Amino acid sequence: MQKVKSFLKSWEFFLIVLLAVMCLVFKITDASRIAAGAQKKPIFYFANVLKSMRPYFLYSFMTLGMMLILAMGDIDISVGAIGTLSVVTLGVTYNRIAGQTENGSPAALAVALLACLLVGSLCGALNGFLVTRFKELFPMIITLATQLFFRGFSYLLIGGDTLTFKDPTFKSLSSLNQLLKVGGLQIPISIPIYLALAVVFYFWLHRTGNGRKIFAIGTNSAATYYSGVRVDRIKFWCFVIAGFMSAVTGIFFVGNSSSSVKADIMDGYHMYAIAAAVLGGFSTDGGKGSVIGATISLVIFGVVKFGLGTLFAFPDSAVNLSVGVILILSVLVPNLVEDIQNKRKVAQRRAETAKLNAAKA
Amino acid sequence: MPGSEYILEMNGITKIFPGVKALDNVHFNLKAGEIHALVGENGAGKSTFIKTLTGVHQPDGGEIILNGEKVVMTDPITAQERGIAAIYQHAASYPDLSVAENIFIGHEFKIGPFIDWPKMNREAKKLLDSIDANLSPTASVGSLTVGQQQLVEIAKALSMNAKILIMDEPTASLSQREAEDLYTIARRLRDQGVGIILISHRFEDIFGLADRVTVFRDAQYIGTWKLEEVDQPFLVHHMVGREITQLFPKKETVVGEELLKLEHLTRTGFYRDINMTVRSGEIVGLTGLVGAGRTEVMESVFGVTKPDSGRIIFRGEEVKDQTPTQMMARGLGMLPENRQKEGLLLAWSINHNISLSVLNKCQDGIFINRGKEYELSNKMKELLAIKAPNTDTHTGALSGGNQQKVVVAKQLAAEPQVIILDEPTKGVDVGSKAAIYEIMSDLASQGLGILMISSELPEVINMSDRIYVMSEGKVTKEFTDTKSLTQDDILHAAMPQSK
Repeated sequence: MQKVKSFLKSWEFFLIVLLAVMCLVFKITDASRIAAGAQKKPIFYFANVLKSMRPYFLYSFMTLGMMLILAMGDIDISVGAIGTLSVVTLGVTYNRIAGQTENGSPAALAVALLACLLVGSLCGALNGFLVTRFKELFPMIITLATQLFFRGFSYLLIGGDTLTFKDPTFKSLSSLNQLLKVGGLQIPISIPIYLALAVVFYFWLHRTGNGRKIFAIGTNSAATYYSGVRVDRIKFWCFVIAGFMSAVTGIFFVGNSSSSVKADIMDGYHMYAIAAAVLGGFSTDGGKGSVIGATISLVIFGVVKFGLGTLFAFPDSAVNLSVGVILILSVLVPNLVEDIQNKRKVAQRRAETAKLNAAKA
Repeated sequence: MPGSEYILEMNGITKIFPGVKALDNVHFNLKAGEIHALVGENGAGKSTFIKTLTGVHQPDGGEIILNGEKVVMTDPITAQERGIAAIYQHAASYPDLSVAENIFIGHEFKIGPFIDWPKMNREAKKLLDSIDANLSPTASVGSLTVGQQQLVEIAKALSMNAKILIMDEPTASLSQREAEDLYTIARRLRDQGVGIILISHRFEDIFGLADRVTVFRDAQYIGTWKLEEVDQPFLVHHMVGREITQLFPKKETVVGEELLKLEHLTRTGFYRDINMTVRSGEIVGLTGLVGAGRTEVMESVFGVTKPDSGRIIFRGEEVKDQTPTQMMARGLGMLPENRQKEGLLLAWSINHNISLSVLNKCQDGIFINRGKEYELSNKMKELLAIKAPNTDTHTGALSGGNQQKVVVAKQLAAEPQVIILDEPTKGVDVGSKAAIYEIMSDLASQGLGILMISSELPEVINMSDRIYVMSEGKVTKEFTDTKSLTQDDILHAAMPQSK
């Protein structure tokens, strides 16, 4: 009973309700559009939404890395640029080894993929080193600087060119972008992979001692340090993992962008990663958030974008605007609710006191 | 009420917060030219009471009468304009601004829209001179000692022609010498007709300064007395609501092997040539003025900072490149001075706080075993008699004394051989003080070595088996016989030699 109660009060439950309400609104719109003759067939149904989640789950891996950083009370705005640099590395390495041959080379692709993941991790390591070494600087500023650095480095490597690979070996990366057919459903491959990783992250963050320490750092890093926790070491590795996850995201992006690599391929994508984590309950204050909440948030963003895009024919920019609105509301609503609850409690107490005083008199 | 002898009367003040009645029909009055102490345990409502006077909180009941006129303190600015000023324990308001800027903040001297710097610095100097504070108006406040910062705050109060001055734990962060200086200034202000409300846990402050004393307990008004009518046990009794038979329960212990030994430890600019030992079963006091380098030595021992030279020998082994993680594993515990910032995760429960330093003991493989975790924290809660409904209670909701017990519990959970306590009773009320002393005694009798850094001379003298006194980064004196020691003996050794 206690458990049910605390679940009903939880942020995750609120997100589920939010998601349900959205689905309901879209469903009704869908039906009314058919009734009005604006469309012939229903658009907003489970299989269709699931299929269309593909682009929205691309950055989900970045969100996983961002959770670690936010849980520690830090922020990393360079993850998009890390993804780009990793992917550019992948392209350049592959180009150098395999060149533009007809069949490509699986060995070259393997090396290029390793280089991509390595560069992502190294970028994260640079962030981690700077953040733990220069504690007087805000991680926001440090990662702003490294973001520019990584972007600049990407341009240095390939300039404004687009590297496109036509060989089947490189093109096999786009299989990361295909739809799995399970029963009558088509599931983007990124979703099961994300879910598998999310389970790992869930147990790590919420069940292991190490995960507890990550949240402890975000709650009060000085006290955590005095408790004998290796704060700097944990921080460093979390940044490395965030960098690694950006590189993973990057590989999915290559698959998505018709096997071509550009120096701005993932610019700005850190914003979606941060947004999903924040809606999921993580905050730059650190110390809170849940993997489940962030996962639901990813779904919410997908549903909103799909619904607004197809049913209301919102252009992409307007969809971003609505994501922003959801985010602001998600921060404001809990505060308002708490405010109202407090006021009610005070009023209750006052009434009691007045009664007591009246009784005394 | 014209002709009333009081400049301030607060009658029947009630304040309700969500879930808690912080003040329940309390009274207080103040005459011009008197120092009126307000005492009570943490959570008794003193701070809330002061905040209703300074306009930070609006009372839910009762009246404030200022100079015979009923007033409503809508906000802190109104209170300021009516001549009420407050100085706090952690004084500096704007550490990056200059002394003059701090004094005149909000009412700067201006020429048109521009600040009249020469005049402001001149006026600041005048105010500082009037309280014998030899400070430069252009110095940045962050570079001053806490004691000097408080002088700046007093000058600020004077600049606003304060008729009522609230001093909230003014001496908590001060050395004995600085506290004496503050006493002198407080007396002078009183003689000039300022009414002073003094909040303090230190009986020296109360008996040394106050004319009258009011006691709050559990948000209730207990009584007001003239100081000559009361003594310390009487006040303690009313504050705690029960008799405290023995404040310093020192047990006889068997002093055993040497656990911690410092040889010629030096960190340039902080301390130099420190030689110290802590043995099993011993409580060693480390005292001196604030800034003498006491905390800095112990931070190096705990591995927070690195000494430049010298040796640290812990349980017979020389330690090098120490980190807190490593020292805790070796059996050293440290209770930092600032328990809210460095000791506790206030947003976390007692349970999670206690287990944080020993998570590996509460794990099956890499996963936390909640059963083991609760078992540990419940055991600790019972052992240290932490007052809370259960171990799921947030530490932020606990009183200062109970918070301190949680920090101790956290250290004890790691089963240390030596434990360093930095100002363990700072800001802790008298009931909890006795409890913490008892815990220390128990630990020593179980064979732990305890090193207590403290500025509270009564506790240093009464609890320690041996005392080191530091001054200007050096150990100036070691007292091995504490039985007949007086505060003057210690103060003499603690004074900088250059003065």
